[in-house]
Amino acid sequence: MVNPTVDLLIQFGLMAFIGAAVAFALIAMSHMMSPTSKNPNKAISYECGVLPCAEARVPYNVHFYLVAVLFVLFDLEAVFLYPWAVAFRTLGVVGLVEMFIFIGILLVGYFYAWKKGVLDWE
Amino acid sequence: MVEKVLFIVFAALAVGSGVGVITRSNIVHALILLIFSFVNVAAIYLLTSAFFIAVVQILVYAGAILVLFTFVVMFLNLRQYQSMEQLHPVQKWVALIMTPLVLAEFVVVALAATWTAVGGPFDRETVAAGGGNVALLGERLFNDALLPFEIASLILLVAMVGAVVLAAKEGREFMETRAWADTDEERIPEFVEEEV
Amino acid sequence: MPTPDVTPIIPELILAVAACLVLVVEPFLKLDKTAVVAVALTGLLAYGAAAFALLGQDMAGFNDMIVINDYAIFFKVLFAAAGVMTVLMSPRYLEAHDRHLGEYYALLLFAILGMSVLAAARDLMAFYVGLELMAVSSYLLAGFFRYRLRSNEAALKYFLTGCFASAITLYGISMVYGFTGATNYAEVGTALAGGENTLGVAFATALVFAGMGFKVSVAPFHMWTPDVYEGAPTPIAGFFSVGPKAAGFAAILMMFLAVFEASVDTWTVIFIAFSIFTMLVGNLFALVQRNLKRMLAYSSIAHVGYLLAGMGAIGQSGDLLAGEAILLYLAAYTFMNLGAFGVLAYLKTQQPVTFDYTLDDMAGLARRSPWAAILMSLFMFSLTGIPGTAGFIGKFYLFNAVVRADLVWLAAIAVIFSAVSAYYYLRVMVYMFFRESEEEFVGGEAISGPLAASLALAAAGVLFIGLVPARLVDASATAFQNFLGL
Repeated sequence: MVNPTVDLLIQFGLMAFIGAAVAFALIAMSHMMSPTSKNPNKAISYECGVLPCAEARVPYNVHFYLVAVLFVLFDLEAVFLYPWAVAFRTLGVVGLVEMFIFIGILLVGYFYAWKKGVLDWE
Repeated sequence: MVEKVLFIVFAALAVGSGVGVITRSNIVHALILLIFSFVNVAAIYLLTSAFFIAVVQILVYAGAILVLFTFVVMFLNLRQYQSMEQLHPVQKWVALIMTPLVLAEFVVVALAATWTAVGGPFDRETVAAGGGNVALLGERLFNDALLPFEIASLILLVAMVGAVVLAAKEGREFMETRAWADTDEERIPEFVEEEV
Repeated sequence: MPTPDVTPIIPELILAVAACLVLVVEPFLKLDKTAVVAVALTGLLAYGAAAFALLGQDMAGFNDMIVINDYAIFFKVLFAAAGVMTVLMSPRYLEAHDRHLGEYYALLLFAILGMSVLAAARDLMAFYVGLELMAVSSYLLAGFFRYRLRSNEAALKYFLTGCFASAITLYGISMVYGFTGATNYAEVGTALAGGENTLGVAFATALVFAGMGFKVSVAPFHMWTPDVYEGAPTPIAGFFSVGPKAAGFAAILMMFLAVFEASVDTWTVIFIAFSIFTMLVGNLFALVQRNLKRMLAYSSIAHVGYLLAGMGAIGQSGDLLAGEAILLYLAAYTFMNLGAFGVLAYLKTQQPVTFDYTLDDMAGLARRSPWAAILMSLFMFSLTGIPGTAGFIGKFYLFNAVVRADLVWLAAIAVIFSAVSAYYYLRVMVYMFFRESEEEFVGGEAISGPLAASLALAAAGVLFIGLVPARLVDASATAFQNFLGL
């Protein structure tokens, strides 16, 4: 007998494969069917504007990093919330308090970051 | 049988892309290989019926952590580091000797030790009877592992404070009146503030 | 489900609340730094007092993950003392570097909280989160002066090696869990004692040892230590040299006596071998340092070597005396080493620009600042182990325990290395008293009150332990015997 997980996995894999294949096929098709021009003028600014003169990969503002860190932390909080919500009935009031403490500690950090101006965008 | 084949495929892909991560000199390629590695690890979790962990692996690692990595890549002007030489010439040779030694040690232990892992209290039937992976995990996490869970939130708080301490902008006036205890060369140039 | 009993973590709760308050007081209430320091100090004192009030308790909580007993309380009080001294010596030093932020104190309190959990943990999961809380806060404190290259270097080196060490520890722990199916120390110990699997267990033991060895800077895992101490803010370097080390040894004692008890023969050999190597590396490299922070870093490695000899003695004989001696030594070391760093912090506040922690900067100190020179001499005497100081009592009990474990040769090596260490400790005094400064000294401000209090506390600790050791000896004996009862 095939392990039910494997069975599930095969179905899941099939879905993932078809999804990826469709996406890939669409891009490939548009790439092959659209008319292309090799003229170098095509790569420069259209009709007007300044010619590009440096790399597009300039360093970003470090502000983005702070937002990214906040995102990761609250993402983790959400991950913990999920099993808590599913098991909520058996956990009862104590579980509620536990989660409030957890969120409360993170909120301290959130308000701290807020007051420090991390969320201000000039 | 099917399980074994699938495991070998996913494990090989995960390890292979992991090797790719540390050998690519183009950091963006390395990042994409890292995502691929994470996804394969998630597939291995799926094989062991650890659905929740698999989802977390995708959400947190392939999602959030990789976003952070990508941001870090974008902050730095990496071209200037791409041609950087190894600064310490001896280090390479030491590593060349030590790495195979450590590998040999691992292999010897892996082959010689008898791996009698003790199974946990859960198998497929008890999990199904208990309301599924996530419900059981929630019950265990919020009963047995309550203390580490709450301390984990403190670690997250420290990470948040750390990000602010290390990266938040200070007022410009403050920057200019700063009395430097260090020599000029030691000073770190201020973060580049070009907006995108 | 039942409400968990919070008694075992009351001190930690106080500390966590204080740390959060420190964090929000400044931005929300717009109070000045004095208030922040006051909150941090109050929190630390309340934490120590709460721990002291629980003395004699012996209970486990949170599914037996954490305990409150005399052993945990001994370390809590020690951490509180180290924390108070560090906080007191910080404000003026941070002002001198134009980076006096409230977060500094919050991170310090969080680090102490992690150390506290580490010393009281009786479960591998609680152990690991405690370790990480301590470590993450420490990385940030090392890099607190973010505009200085050296501070950044310190933070980066500490972070990379520290993460690597944490991962290695975690790998060892995961193997232990695989072998035993349990994370509770007592259960794991019983399961390991009953099973065979010797090579796999030995491997897991080695991984945990290597990971913890990084944290307490056992040679050859010590490479980060001098760079981190040099780059970190001086009070923090002093704190690193005592706090996380004491917490690391609290956890090592617990781990190897409770969890890996079955493989005691294996790890005794490991500890003795690494002890000799650590003493060698620490003392020899300390001899050639001209930067005092680096010298103290290598000397702290040497002290870890002595403590490892004590671990070897416990493994060799199962004698309680060595465990007590380790606790005593850690307490003595906390006061004398933090005191030495405190004097350096004071000198830096005096001459923020010119003072660079080198031996030459110490020249002529006895003339321009006799009190600082006298205090520094006291701490140097104590670190050498001159009778009448805390260092002597610590070394005396430790080496005595090593001798009683039939490791006379190991004790002899340790004594020889102590004699070597006299050279680099006393050389500081030669510079302070018998060399003249080449440049004219521009008079600095008077010493700030808190810094003076901190130095007085450290000196009092050194003299108290050195002259009236009985109380502390009793305390460490009760603490250690109590812990073995689990």
